[in-house]
Amino acid sequence: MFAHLALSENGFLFDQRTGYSFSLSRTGVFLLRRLLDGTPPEQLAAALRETFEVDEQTAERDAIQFLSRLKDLRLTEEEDR
Amino acid sequence: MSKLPYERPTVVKHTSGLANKFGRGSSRRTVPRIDGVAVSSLIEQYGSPLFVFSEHTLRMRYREVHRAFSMRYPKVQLAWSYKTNYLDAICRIYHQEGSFAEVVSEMEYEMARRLGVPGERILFNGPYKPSDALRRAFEEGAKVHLDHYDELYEAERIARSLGRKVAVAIRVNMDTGIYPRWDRFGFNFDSGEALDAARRIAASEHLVLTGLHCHIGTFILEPEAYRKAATNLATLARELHKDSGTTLDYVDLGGGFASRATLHEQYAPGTDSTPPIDEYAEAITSALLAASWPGGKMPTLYLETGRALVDEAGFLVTRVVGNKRLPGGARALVVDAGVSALFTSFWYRHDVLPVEDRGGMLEETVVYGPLCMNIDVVRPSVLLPPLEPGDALVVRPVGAYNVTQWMQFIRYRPPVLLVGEDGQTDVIRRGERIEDIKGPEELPARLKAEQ
Repeated sequence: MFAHLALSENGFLFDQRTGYSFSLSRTGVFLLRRLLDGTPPEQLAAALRETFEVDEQTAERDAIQFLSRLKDLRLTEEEDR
Repeated sequence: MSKLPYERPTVVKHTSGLANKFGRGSSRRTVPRIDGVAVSSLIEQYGSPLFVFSEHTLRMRYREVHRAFSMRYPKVQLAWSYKTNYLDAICRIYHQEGSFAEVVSEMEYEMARRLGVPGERILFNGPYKPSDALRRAFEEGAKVHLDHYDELYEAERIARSLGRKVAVAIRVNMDTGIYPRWDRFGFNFDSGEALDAARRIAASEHLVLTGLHCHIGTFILEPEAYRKAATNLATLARELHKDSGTTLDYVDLGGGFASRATLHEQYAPGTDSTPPIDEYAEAITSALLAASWPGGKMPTLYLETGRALVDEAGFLVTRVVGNKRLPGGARALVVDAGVSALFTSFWYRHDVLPVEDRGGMLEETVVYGPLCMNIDVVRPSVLLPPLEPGDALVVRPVGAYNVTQWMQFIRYRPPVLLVGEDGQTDVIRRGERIEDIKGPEELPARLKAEQ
């Protein structure tokens, strides 16, 4: 699903299909890395809470918004059709 | 294993827009304190939103501007422009520093008198001075600047009824090469109308012309325009002397000097593009000194600068109430102060800076106010770190025009605080309450029934 994306550990993201590049925050890298590794989107909030000092409500809100942002930026495969 | 500190996950697209070689960049700047007082403690004590004025900046800036002119020209008098900020405490500080009052309505005239400013230390400008106000101004010896012929005739009628000659000045408009040209106020120099009006006054049995006034515009970024204005006023004074033997007591170059705010349409930030006050002072005073004045009598130079004195002394403290993602993906914040309090948002790209930066990526953000109105935009785009509800922001410079042009609309207007030179804090205008809004209203008897 994300085979076109190259993500570096320090937050630089390159989209091979479009040539666009992006910067991600540390938690952004964490979430996108999980997605690249095959974590289902609905498990992202729990992954955040396991690793970071964050409450359930904030983690859930931010995970939803991050996914929506990836979609807005046309970084998910569905958006390419 | 302990968990890592959290920051909001963000992804920001790189854009290759025009490089900006100006400015210090807005990245990672914060305003944790105003004049040494922690903003967080101000919010704790006085709530949010909150206007904050720095007495230190008010006084220092006044002295800086006065010095810039008085070191170059022998007779200089500043007159505080009430419309820029007529809170009593702010006006009183300027009067303590030696400023006259410059008023443009009977309401402002009353404000100045109420603060104990004597008539002879008031400059009365504006296109409409009701007859009663004009009479009072003459009786109290105010410096009245006539705007048009009908006002000139009215002044003459009042002087006649007072049974004595009264002193007046005329406002003069002119082409100084700047746009827009402010030609709606006063008598035109270029067409000869101003000289005609001055001659008409010189011929009057009841009026004496003692001064010339001009105010070429607002937020003028070109000091050379003032050189032209000063030169033109000197030319007018010379021609008038040749005609009628009139010698003037003063010339008033008005105001309009830019603050370090940044207009929306300006490319470089105001901190880089606004000329220092010395450039305005040099342009005006060198023109006045170079002119030959009738009888060698140099007139007193009056100045009415408002924004350049007060803008940078004012701050608006506001808090985040919510985060949003707009349909196009843009990040947005809703804050608790909007354009009803911060009228100058329509003109300026204010600095919007967090009080505390807890890290995380900076992202272009739309800052919306709390009004249920589409126009309520504090900044259409500004780089900000991730912020949560309750986090505070400081908007600056906001000292000019906001606390006079703010609107009572949808929400109460916030309190205004003055931070003194030794850090004490005083509320100089309390926050509005329902009785401030509804007090003047009357419900007709036939509508008293609730059902």
